[in-house]
Amino acid sequence: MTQLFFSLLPINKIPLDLSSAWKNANLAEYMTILGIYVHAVFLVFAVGFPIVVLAFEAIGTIKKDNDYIKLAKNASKIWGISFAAGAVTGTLVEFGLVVVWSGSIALIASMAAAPLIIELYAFIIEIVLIGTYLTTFDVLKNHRIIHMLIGFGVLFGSNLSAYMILAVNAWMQVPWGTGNFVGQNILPWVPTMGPDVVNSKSLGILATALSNYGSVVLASPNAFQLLAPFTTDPWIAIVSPEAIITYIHNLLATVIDTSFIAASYVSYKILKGYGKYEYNLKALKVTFGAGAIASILQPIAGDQQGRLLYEFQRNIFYATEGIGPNGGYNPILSFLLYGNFNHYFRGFNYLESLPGSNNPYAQMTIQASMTYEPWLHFFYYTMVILGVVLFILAIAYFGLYIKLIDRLVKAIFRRSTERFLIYGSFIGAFSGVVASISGWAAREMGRHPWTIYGLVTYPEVITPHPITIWFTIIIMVIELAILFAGLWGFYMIYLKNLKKNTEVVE
Amino acid sequence: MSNLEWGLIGIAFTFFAHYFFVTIVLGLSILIPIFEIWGRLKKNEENVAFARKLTSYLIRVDLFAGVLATWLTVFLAGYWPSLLFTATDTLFYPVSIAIVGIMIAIVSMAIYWYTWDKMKPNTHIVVGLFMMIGALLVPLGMSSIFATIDYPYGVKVETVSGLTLFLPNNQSVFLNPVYWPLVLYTWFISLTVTSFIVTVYAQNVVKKGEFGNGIIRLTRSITLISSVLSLIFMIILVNEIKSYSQYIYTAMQGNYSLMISEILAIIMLVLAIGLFSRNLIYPMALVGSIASYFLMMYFEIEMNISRYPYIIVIGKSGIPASDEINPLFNIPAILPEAALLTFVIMLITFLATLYIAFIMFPVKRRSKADEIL
Repeated sequence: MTQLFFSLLPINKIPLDLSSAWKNANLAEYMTILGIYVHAVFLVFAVGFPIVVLAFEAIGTIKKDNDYIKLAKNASKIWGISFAAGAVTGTLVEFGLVVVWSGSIALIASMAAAPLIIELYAFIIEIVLIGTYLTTFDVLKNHRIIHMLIGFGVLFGSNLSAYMILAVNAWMQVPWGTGNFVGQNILPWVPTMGPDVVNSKSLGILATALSNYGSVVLASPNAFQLLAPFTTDPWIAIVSPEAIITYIHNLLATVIDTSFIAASYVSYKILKGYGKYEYNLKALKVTFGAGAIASILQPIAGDQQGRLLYEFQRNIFYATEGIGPNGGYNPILSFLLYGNFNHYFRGFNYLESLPGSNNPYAQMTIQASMTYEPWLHFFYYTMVILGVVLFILAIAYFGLYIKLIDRLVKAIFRRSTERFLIYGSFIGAFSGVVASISGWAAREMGRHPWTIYGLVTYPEVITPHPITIWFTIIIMVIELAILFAGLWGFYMIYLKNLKKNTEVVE
Repeated sequence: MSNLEWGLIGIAFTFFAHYFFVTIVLGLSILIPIFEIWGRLKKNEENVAFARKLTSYLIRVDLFAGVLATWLTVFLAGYWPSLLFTATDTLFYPVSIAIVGIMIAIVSMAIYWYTWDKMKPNTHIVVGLFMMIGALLVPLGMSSIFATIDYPYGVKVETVSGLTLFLPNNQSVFLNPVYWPLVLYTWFISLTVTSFIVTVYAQNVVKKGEFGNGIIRLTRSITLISSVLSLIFMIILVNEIKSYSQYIYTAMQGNYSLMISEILAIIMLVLAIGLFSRNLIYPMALVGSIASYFLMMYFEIEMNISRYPYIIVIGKSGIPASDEINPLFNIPAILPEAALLTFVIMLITFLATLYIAFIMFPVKRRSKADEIL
């Protein structure tokens, strides 16, 4: 079938110029990385923060304490900026995907169709209900339950959106539903990736066509017809284990990030003497508490994510764990994975020795993992170490309610739990944000040179148009402008108008 | 229903919903800085205050328009992958210009809104002009797609060994004869529709005593100028279509939609002139809003329907839509069905929210106490 496809294609007219495609891909990567991180700055407040806002509103409603209602109102104001900037940057990321990484259109038309169409519902639910939530905050003051239901709608919309986007990303990491295709044809260390519901002939044609001709082959509708039927299960990307774990891991990360950022803001107010102490303390307990609970749950999700990495992306696992070419012992990993301390982890040399590893893609993959290993190891362990810091902060939080922990906090840190949490919130915010950035850096860098692991590489999906340095610079400058405009908006809402020793909103 | 049917319904529904909102965004992005500049030049604070009021509407509508832009992109990629690839490949630079325009418009819009009274007036005006330029760049880029599917200038269609390939032919798509009339018509019809609507709104707030007559004088002048220009560029556009996209022209002429569009454009112009009659201004503005909106949508729908069964028209024939539809698998019908249902429910919720925000409980400026968090 592949040969048939080659015979059909005008080989002399549109071969992929690999060196210029790599150059294009490398330049485009900078603006894509920046664009996605800028998007992330704003989207975390849409995904994780509704939990904090709804917690404020629920406590205020149950306790009939107006302070919590005011806190919910003030906290939700961030959505005005974060969602506007998040929606804009999200739209731009999507445009960037289809314009700059135009080969990804084939992904959207196939395995990502279902998640991305569902994401459309989520996106519109989220944006409309955020507007309704903010607009009706006072209008529905006598109907708090109805208002909270609108808030739950926001939470549902934003999380459905996050799930679907992450499901697509997860499919790019672990193309679930491709069965043995990758393991048998390209990367021999890869096990079966779920049921065999993607047509392997179509995958073969797509992989061969893109690698030989680049994304320009998609300019032909007939080329798509050659790939049909592509799958018997268009929902498979949504139900893959990688999608489920990635979502949980990221949801917890967004709760940690936004809760600790909010807690550090409250702590700043306390330290500077802005507002009533009791009011700020209520805010600190809820925000820090949400971050603490998420920080305790996060190691479980992280562990599951690590197990999937070990199972499906062994080369990346070796790189992130710093297991050298000849392999080695790692008692902690051994215990976590095998329940004993003596398992010997075989390194890249073993992967290279596997039958079938002599194909250029397997070689390129191993080479990329070895090249990026120092960075992957650094980012991965930055995330892990900061996760430990967050876990310690989370345990300390319960000193507010458990005397034994309170005494421990006092003994170790020579401060009351309350005081420790005020300072600890800054450490929590820093740790959460840096851990998230590092985790995503390790995840995306680890996938090099693949766009879809084992199937499609970066230069195969880049636009055939030359990406110039100036084009990249202009886009990056605009992305930074959006970032600063958003941050400036946060500043205007939350910092500029703080007044020393003033009463809270009446 | 098949992918083809859902692809056509999905795109049509999303596009026309998106088109209405982006029209308002574009129109307001032009009108608002004009009001501010005019107000500053004439030292008329009412114009400046009115510009500020309009901006609060603009930012809300823009978010909804942005969401629908994402809908369009996903529907295009999901149902019409090779068409979208052809557009992004052959129209890489115009589409990039549109994306840059979106970015400029959104950033400057946010800065513009949050810096009222916090920036020097001249600097604020410059930000407003950036917002206007950004908004104008979006149709400047996106119109290239419609110009290309009406007359694929800058694109070569090669059929080699059974494969049809749409590739750039090194001719600038900006030189497409259909392109510039389409851009100019889009700019001015958007401004006309919005300025009619703004005139209705202005008349209401003047009646309530919130603003003086000055705002109406300005908005009706803009309406008249843009109505004249819309009519002129529509005629030029039709003429270019007649020369370069005969299939569309013949279809539109056959069902009288060209004639109806031209009559509507003339009615719109008469209504714009009627705005200068003191007693008739309100009904003229109201009917003008409906007529101009109807003209814009009718002309757009007819242009698109006239392409059928082709999706890209080449002279008197074209590339059938069925050739470009996603053949990879049958996208489950529940996906577009649920999408359209969600859209309708959320549109109603959105409109109800706007009603609450602007009619039931109008947004007031925050008190100082409110700003303390």
